[in-house]
Amino acid sequence: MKEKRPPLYLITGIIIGLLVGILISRVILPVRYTDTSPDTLSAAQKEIYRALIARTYLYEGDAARAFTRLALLGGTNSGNDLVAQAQQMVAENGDTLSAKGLALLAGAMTDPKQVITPLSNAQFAFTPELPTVTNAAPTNVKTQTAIPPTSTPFATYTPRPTATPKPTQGAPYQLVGEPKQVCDTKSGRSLLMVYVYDSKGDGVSGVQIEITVTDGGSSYFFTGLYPEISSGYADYEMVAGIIYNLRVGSGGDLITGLEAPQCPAGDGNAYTGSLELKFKQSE
Amino acid sequence: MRRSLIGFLLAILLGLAAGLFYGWVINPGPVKNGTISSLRADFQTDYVLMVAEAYPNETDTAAAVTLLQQVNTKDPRQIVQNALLTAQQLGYSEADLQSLKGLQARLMNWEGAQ
Repeated sequence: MKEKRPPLYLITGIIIGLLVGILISRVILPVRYTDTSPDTLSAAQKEIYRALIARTYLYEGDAARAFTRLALLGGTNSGNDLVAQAQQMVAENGDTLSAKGLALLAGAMTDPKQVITPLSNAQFAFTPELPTVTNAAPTNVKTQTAIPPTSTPFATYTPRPTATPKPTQGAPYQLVGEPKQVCDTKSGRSLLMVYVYDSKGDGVSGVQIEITVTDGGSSYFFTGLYPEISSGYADYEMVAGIIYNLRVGSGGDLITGLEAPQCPAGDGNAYTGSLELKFKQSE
Repeated sequence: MRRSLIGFLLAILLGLAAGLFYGWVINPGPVKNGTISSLRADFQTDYVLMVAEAYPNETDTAAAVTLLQQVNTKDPRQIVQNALLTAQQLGYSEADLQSLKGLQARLMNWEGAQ
């Protein structure tokens, strides 16, 4: 008795076609989704979105709205995520305003009572432009009266004074006491540790700290990137032998001559320690 | 021989159709690696609103355009116009609408200066 089987070439053809079809539909020409939500964005696009949320927060000062927008991105969106992105942006010399917004948002997560003064938006005034009347037959028309339009929202744009980029207003931050040497062998790093407090003694996040060195180079960093230490904490890694100048906020005094201290080690040698500076807003 | 070849080709086509149906319809894969351009209109509107609010100055317009190009690379002003219409339909506040109108005005000036 002869068993009847389907021809092998047919099975082979179907399998080849099936594999090619799956390859095309999943890899080469995958389904392109539309009408998606922000949580489906790629990691890179989420970073763009998150940075924009943070920057908008600086101008709106609406933490609840910012958190709602962050929630749309899905995932944890913890303060650490925001801090990590802010640090990355600062390291890459990216948008400092967005980095500052991220730091402030991270601070708002740990301290829900935190309130910022929104950056003032430029104001726009729309002056309706009178339409130009052309006379098609000037001999027939003696006078022409321009009729003001009822709705010409974008006829002209009158720029007003530019926004003042000051997220918080108030008295400048002043150094409390003298810079304190911190000799800590555990960290293995030489840090310029800055704590910024308001007049009530609460840490203030999002404060810009400017570091300059004697050769003219300068860089910026912000408080609030380490909310687990303090919302008003920021640090900068020093290099031994370089003298730094530091200014907290835009109106603070310039603290000059900051240098990594040499700490005595147990074996008679010395190692480079850290400096701790505390600033407080005057009453 | 010829019959076998035709059968083989038909089998490939049948498998191909089944594979495409599976990958595109039955199991199209998770929604991931999306782009801002593929967001739903209301999310895009909120995105454009954020651009308007976060870049409120004339000097910011180039940066705002770069971000708007994430939505669509063609016409930034049309993107804002669409957002404005959607915002009106969704009942955005007057302040938000003014922000969008301000961005539209800045784009007009910016395009005029180009």
